[in-house]
Amino acid sequence: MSRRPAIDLIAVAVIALALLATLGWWLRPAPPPTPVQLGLQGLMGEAPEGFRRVTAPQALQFPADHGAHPDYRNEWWYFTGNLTDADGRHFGFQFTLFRFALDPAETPAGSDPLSDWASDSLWMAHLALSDAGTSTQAPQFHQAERFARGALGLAGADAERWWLRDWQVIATEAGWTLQAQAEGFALDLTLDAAKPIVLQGDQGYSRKGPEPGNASRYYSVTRLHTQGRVQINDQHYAVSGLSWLDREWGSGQLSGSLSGWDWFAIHLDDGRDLMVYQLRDLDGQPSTFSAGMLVEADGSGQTLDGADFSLTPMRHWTDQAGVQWPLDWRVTVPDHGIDAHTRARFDDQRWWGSVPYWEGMIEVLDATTAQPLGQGYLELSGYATAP
Amino acid sequence: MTLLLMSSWRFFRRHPGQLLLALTGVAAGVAMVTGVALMRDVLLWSLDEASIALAGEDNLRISHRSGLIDQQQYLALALQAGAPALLPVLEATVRVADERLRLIALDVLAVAESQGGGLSLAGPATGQLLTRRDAVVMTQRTFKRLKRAGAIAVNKNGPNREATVSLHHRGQSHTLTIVSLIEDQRTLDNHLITDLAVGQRLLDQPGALSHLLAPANAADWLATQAVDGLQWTPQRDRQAASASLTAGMRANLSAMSLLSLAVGLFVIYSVLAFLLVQRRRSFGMLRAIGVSADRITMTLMVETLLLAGLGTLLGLVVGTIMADGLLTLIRQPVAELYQQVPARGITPSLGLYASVALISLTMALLSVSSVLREARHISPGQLVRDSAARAPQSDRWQRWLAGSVSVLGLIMIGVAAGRGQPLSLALAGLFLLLAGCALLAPQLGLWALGRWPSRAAVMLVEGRQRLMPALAALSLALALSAGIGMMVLGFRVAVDQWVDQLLRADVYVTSHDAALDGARMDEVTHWPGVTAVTSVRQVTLSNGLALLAYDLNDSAWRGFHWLAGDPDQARESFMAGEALIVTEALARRQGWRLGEVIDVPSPSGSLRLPIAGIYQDYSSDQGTLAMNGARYRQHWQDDQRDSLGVTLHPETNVAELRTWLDNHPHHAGITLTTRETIREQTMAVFDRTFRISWAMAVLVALIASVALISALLALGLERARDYATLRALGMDQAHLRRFVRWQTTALAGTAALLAVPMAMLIHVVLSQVIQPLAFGWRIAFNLPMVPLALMFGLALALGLMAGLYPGWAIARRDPAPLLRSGNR
Repeated sequence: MSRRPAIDLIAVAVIALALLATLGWWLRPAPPPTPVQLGLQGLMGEAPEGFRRVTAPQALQFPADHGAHPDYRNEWWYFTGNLTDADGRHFGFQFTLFRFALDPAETPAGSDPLSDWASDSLWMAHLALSDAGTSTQAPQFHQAERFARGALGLAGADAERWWLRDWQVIATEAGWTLQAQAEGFALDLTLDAAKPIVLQGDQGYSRKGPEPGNASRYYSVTRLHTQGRVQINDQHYAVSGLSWLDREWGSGQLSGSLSGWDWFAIHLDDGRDLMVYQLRDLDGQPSTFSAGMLVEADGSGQTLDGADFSLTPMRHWTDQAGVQWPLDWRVTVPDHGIDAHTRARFDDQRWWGSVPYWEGMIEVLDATTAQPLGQGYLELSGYATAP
Repeated sequence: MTLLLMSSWRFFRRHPGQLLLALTGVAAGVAMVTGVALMRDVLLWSLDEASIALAGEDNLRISHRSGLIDQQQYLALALQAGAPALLPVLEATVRVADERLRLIALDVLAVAESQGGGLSLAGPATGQLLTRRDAVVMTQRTFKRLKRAGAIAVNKNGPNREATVSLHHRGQSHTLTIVSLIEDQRTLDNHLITDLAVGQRLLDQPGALSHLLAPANAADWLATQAVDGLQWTPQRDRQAASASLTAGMRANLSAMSLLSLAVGLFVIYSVLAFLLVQRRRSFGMLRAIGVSADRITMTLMVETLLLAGLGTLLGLVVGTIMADGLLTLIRQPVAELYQQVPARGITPSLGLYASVALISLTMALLSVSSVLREARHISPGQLVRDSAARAPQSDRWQRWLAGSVSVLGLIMIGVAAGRGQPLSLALAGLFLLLAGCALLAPQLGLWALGRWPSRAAVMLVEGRQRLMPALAALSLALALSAGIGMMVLGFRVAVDQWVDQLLRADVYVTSHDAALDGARMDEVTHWPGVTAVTSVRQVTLSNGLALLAYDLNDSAWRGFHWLAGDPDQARESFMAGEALIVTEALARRQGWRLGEVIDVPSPSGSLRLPIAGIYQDYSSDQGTLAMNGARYRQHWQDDQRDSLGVTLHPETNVAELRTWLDNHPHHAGITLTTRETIREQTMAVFDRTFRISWAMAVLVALIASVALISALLALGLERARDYATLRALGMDQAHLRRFVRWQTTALAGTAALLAVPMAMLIHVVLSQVIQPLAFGWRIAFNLPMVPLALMFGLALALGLMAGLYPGWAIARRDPAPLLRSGNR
């Protein structure tokens, strides 16, 4: 009998705790909504039947080929550049317009008439401004991502204009103008081509893998004299410098055995421009399809294959998510007397949008003497997984 | 203290039934208050929560004063340099099976850009939403609920087991494929989400948007743009608007939860008093062995707090579960009345739970204070009951208190009714009035019972102290149930009469895609068998008021029931376009009087028109104002109509007209609805709206029956010796059971009798004071008797049932020891 009150007490306490736990469960905070995940990776790697593929060289027509190629799965217009203001403050910028054709097989045929919003393409734009800061001001990386569909004039690209809503590039006689305004920063630049268009790979036919169709059309304007204004919050800076334009389109160009790439675009002070990229296989080893191009000061270009250059990571940086990014590199192109050490102007130029990558401005130094040789842009992809 | 607590423990071990009854009593009252409070929160906060989920806590809603934004206007804004992220949305309430859900069609890609908000969609879903012409997503909870309701079809034969849902909108059905489920986002419950490309097609609104969502800091940018007809409101303002929209419904719910709390308090008192009676003897013994009165009081307080605490926890859990059920009852009426679907289920908060628990514990202590006082006065060694009758002074004091409380309540109701506000004063007045009545009722009831020449009745009257709270609780609960029922039925009659008088045409013409303009109206005049055509157009003015533009004939004019103004004069000035007529609800809301000149904003400038008449209307508690159609078209340049009223020649019937229309394909898209159908639909909406009132009335009555059972058990125990005497005098067990059943039935019958005047009072105050204050309309007075008759039936049934257990418990006792020892 003496144990019974204790047993009852325990029973009551258990019931009370169970009731409290139920209430507590209802009171748990709701998780915050996570943004739409667009699953863009799938749009890069695979391309269903029905999309045209790049399988052989083909003559490009300008200015028509500046516009979109809707028969292909994906396409991009890619500006990067290094700018300085009168006080020598370094700025880097990136403006990229991506087009992804949506899967036509998913649309049931013969349904009702479509709304104006119906579209067969998804457009994404990335705008970034790297501010190296001053001796008293820390560097800052500003980034903005936008999406729109290829309908109602919300996004598109033709020979004269490439745009996503109010972010736009307009063709001029000498090159292009770029205007884009995001939360907290803006660009208003004039980009005049200092060299002619160069066709990458075999006359613009750039192979990325062993399968037919693992290739893209790829051309560049490697040196664009750039000037204009950048704005950060309420501060305006008059800037000038050099930019680079890459244009690429294709269907399923990246073979499934690739994990990512390291891409360099370098303006050397001697007037030459160097583009090299290293495709990495699933083990992180360079693929034999890595390639590049050296453009002489007079605009003539020489194609490089994987054996012509070497890229060696020198220093890694770990971001907030714990991902390691190789930011400093040794870049050698022995046949052209290039042995350089590239260094990120500052570490945190990492993209946190729907595609995780690092894209930022770098300085280029002589590997032996550490004398400045030039500047450029580095893109690192495939090190982090998509959110 | 341990000794005392051990004695408590032993008592409850021996009487688990009593423990259960006490817990049930507390839990029932707490559950009622919790359930209603949680549901009120949903009405207060969640009507607009989908916007927060999509565009963040701090967003602006940009809308057009016409109600729809042309997508060209959106593009003009979105393509401007420096434009903020704008999320275009097209929304509508659609029907899935028997439920109303909100369809949100939006630019899926713009959601990806919006700050602070978002949709958790799995990878390929976004692409499918963009490419498939039938793609829809919903939350997992909504999916499960619809699946349970049989509204989801799963195609098991196809290659990838697709689930589809069929929705209905304006007479059209569409089948959509569910391409993904949204995880853990309760604020999007009861919504179907599609891309705009799908939504515009489904809702048959190509090129149209309901609104745009923008980040809060977009207001400055918008102010610099030419935005013809656009207006924007921050989230918090919309929250306030949504709160005021549902103010009437919430007030009614609050009133009912307060009243049920009052009933719950009587239950607590009744149950705890019963526990004391049972232990009077052991307290007497404890006092005799030297335990002080203070310690006994302390023990009882601890016991009360433990009991009430456990009961409260139980009540909070039950109430939370119940709120989900009640929400299902109100979701549809809310969708119909306010065109908004409450998004999530209930969201309990610590604050709410804590306050309900605090109220419950405080009330429990207060309600047992008289019991505690009684316990203190048990003298050492007192082993028998000593509560035959309360001192007459105490009764007089109670009568005086009851009288003053009632008078105060009446004054408060009168003041609120006279000044036209505030609702809270009228509700507080009603609460006091009922409290007064509840205090007075048992005295009156026992006095009446005392006139009954029967031993059973005399025993009841002698047990007055035990019975009074139960009688009060029961009569209050019955009165509430019947009073609410009378109000609802009275309202129903009024609405039925109103619809009957208002609908003068034989058939109403609407269109879901064809234009209903002046030319079409002329055409309809020439349809076979048509003798007259009237029309109505509804628009929202820039000041947010709803305006109706009527083209009326004499017959239609006679459909109005005038509350103020001379019908003939009003007709003359209205037809000439020189005056407005307004609904009672709007006049009351705005404080407008007959003859007052009103500013009506129009696209061609402000019009100043006097009010020529105020008419009865139950269609919207926000109210509408009406003007002549010709005058409207002159200033708004809008030739559209929303509906045409067609009077047919007596020899033409609607079926013939339908056949004729079917044979004329250029009339496709025209829908004919008969007067009877509209009337039936209106009454169906009405009935759904008040389902919740019925549910609450029944719940209140059930809670009260707990009070009755515990009171009778207390009486049975307290009068054990008297019952034993009856047994000794030759009454057998069956007879004694009947005897007790007679007592419970007589009590319940008395409670029902007492409830009659109280129910009438509740009905009058609800329909003549609370309704006008909450919704803006007065209900034409009538006295439906059905709820009173039902209440009697229910009370007698309750009385009979409530007598079963006490009768059995009392009759099975062995009378001998009881006779020997007095009480136990």
